[in-house]
Amino acid sequence: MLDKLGIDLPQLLAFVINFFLLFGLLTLVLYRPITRMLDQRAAKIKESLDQAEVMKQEMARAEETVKAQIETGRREGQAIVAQASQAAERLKEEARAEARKEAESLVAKARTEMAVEREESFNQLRREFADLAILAAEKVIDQSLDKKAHEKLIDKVLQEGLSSRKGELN
Amino acid sequence: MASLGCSTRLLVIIATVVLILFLVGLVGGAIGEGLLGKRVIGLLDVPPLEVHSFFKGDVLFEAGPLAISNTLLASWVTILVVVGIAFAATRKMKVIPARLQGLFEAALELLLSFVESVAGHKNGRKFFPVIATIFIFVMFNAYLALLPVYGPGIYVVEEEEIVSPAYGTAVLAVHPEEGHHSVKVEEGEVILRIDDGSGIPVEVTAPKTGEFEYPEGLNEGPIEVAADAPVGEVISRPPLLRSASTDINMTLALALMAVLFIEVWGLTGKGFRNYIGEYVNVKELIRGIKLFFKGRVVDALMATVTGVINVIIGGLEAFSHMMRAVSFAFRLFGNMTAGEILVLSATFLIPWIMAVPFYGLELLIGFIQALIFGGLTLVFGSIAVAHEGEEH
Repeated sequence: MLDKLGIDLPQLLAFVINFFLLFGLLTLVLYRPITRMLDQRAAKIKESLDQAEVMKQEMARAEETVKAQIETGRREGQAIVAQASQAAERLKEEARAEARKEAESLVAKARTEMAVEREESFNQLRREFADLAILAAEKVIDQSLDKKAHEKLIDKVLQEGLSSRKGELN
Repeated sequence: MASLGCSTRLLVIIATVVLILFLVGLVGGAIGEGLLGKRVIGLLDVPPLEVHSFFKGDVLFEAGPLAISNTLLASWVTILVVVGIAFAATRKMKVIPARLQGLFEAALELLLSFVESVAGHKNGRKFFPVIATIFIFVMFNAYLALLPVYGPGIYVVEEEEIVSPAYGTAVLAVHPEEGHHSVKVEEGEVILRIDDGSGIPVEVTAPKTGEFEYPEGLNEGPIEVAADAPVGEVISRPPLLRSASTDINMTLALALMAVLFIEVWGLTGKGFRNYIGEYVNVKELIRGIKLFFKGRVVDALMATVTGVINVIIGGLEAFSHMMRAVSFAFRLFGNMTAGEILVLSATFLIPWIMAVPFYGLELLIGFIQALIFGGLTLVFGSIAVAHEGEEH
């Protein structure tokens, strides 16, 4: 019956061998590489997703840090500004004090200079006045007086007069 | 019209060409020859439908004990083509795939997810290579067989055969012509054995050249070429390639392999005792016999009857497993052979255009048969490894 159906043992075996041949070859060149690649890709995608999750968390943390840093920076800045304005205030104060001192010293200097000058002009005035007085006296008496003796006398008189006048002036 | 993707003009041209091809095919084919009574166009020389050997491939040459048949050759071609393409696709595997690699990955992933959806992840991975090999082999056999290098027309072996009786009826075309049978004979003389229904065949010598006509007074019964007669040269031209699935040896080999793998999976999945226990189910029978010795006759009778039924059911189960191989083999063989004959008939009757829809049908059938063969193997395998009704 098998013969009538065309079933032939060598042929059947040849086809069985064919099946295993194809099975082996395809396992080698198709199933193994492709399942490996599919698994590899799945693993890679999973890894990427995990990594992205980690990155996201890290980014959130970094953002937090940056925010904190900005806060401290702002506070530091404020402190610096406050310090600077304080320093400026102090410098201004110092400068003002210096200026006042200088002005005062200038005024004092001017005052002493003025006093010296007045003294000098007094002295000059006095000398000129003495000369004029002698000249006038010569003319009045018309006699040559012992200049030196007279001068001493006049000086004495003037001294007395001037000191009394000085007291008035002052 | 614009929705058709081409202009009306182009559509008309295409329709005209199709119609012309159809008409030429109609006139030039067997239908035209029949209607017009003669062959009008000689260029469509479709070889007449002749199946050299229906169940198995035609032998091309002998290699030791193995006869190399055209179906065996076709299966080698299939293996070469499949392995070649697969090798090209996976030669340089990349994580970001090139086109061919991507195509193969997509196809195999689809198949793998199908297998895993039926058998689960672990068993799916175990079954996958077998299911995929069956699927790919069946589908590529069917698809490659649609190429013009397959089938009649291309042959390397031309044999003058001494035909056996059964063979002869198939080779010598019997034409129903003008109400009586005749046999066209190439040359020389042929002894024909005519069975006119009386039970005793009448032997008639017919000229080998020319037309043999029924002798007067004989009923027109089937004609056989006498086995013992020097039949002479009947020229046989087996095609070089013939779809491997049209050989019962191939489909039976594939079916036996499928069943073998199913049983091996069941055996390794359930363990030897459990698995064999399903087919040789004598547990209940032994219990019944033991009860007899204990003297509990009623219980013993009940157990024995159940035991005998169990044994019969086990036997039927084993038989059904063996029948799976037969149904696998003949389903594929029948579908593929029918498809081949269908395409050949269409080409024979109205060549060219009319054959195209049948080629489309064959593409579909090739895919479906591959899916059925692979899918049934998968389902039987899943059933074989499934733990049902834990008895231990």
